[in-house]
Amino acid sequence: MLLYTPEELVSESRSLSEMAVEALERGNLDEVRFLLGRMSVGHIELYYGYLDWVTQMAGKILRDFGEDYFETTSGKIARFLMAPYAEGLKEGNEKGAIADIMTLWCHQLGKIDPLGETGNEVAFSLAPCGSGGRLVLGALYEISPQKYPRLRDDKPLFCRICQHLQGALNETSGKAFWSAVPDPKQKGFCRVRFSKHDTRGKFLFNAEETSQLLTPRCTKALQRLENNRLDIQDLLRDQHTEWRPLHDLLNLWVTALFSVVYEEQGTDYLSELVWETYVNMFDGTYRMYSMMDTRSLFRNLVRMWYYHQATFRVTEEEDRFVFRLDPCGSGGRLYRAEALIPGAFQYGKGMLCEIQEPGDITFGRAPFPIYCIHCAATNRDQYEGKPWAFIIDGEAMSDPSKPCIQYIYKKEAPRKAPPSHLTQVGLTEAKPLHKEYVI
Amino acid sequence: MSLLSQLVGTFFMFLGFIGILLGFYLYRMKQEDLGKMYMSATMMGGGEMSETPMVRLLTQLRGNDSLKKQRALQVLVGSILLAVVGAWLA
Repeated sequence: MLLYTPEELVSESRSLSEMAVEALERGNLDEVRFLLGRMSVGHIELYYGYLDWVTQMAGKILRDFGEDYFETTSGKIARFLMAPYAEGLKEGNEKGAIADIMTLWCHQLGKIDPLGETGNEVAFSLAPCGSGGRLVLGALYEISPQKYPRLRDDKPLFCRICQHLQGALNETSGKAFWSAVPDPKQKGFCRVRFSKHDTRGKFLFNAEETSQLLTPRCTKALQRLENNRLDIQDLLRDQHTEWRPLHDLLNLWVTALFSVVYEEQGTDYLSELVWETYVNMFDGTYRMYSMMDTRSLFRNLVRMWYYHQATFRVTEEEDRFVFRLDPCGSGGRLYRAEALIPGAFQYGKGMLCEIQEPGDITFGRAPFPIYCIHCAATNRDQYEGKPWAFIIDGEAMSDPSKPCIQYIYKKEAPRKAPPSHLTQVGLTEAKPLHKEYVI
Repeated sequence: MSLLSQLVGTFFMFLGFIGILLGFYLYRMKQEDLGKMYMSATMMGGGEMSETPMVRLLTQLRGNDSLKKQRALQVLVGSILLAVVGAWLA
């Protein structure tokens, strides 16, 4: 049964920012404020998901191959990711580099206090840090030491990855520029310093610029509303793209790790890495699917796709919703070399590689963009008795110019999948839904 | 008047009882449990999360056991006093 008329479907497929702009045009400021609250944390599950995924994968590498291998791998990835950032820094654009890095933190859902600027440095306090600090404050290293192991010197794993990024930028640019030191007095807090070299003695940011740099658009919009200003359209429009640099950096870190693992450890270990981390983490999605009604699930997925940086169209069929992602915001944009800095990161260039042998984690295709293996793994997992919350047609994006197709099945829909979708992940039939997901 | 003071007194005693339980629970709580509470509180969302009082309190108490015990004792003493005042009123 169809749940929406075509007009309703268009309305339900709007982004939160579109809804906020429309509410503003109608003069409904209460609704604008409500939507701003939702928009300010619109990326929360995606961001925390990436944070946990990156740390759990690093943890598995550390457990399986030891600290030296982890250090080498993480260092290699950091040098690859920081290379474009280092270019600007080499040319003396220290203000731009500071702005780029602080823009990443600005969306980590933590508080940032400026510590001031001198002729020698600019400093900030992450109070607390929304990434490494969150994992420390959340006690994950104590609660799940298997998944979140610490290093020999007791350093939290994610903080070490961050340290590698700092070291890589400093090494590649040839300047001791960026450092971050945990606050010894307060768990999860960190002091970030940028040492000036080419701009030593100059002041780069005035108070207004610092405030602009550290304040997300939703907060700016709320501040304007409090001052009875209604000129917030520019802040609302496409707000979901605001966290894109952080999204893309995490996406690239994952892809770079997949590439190293594939080339050095092979496909079987790569598959194990994905199943033990991403596929296990996806259980939260199945629990959510079990507890929510179809309309709410659909709305939630629409929001997710916007904050996952996708461009898409939705159609409704009797048993499912079809998202035509042109492109998908993570794997699709990367396949089209649009991630982070257009043209800078692409498959076959530098570290990022495609898988050359067809298999269950490549939807039976080769060459296959390595980031997308996690979708093949969760497809198989869902056909083996989990709710069909996120099914991908693995053939759809067979070249970068094509859109990816994703389905969310309605809760009451029969578990009948097209045979081609099953064979893509090495199955011949779909298993019934496990009882634990029937509520 | 006496009925009103009895009602208020009973209510204070009830609040004091809840407070004593909370204080005792906080005193005994492990750092790992505070961590779990921090994760749940920040996952609920709703804007500037690190600025909400609950998250601020949890951030202060994580990793600082003596402060956690101090806050728990303050809650306990405050609740006992509230309960005593309640008993007197009732």
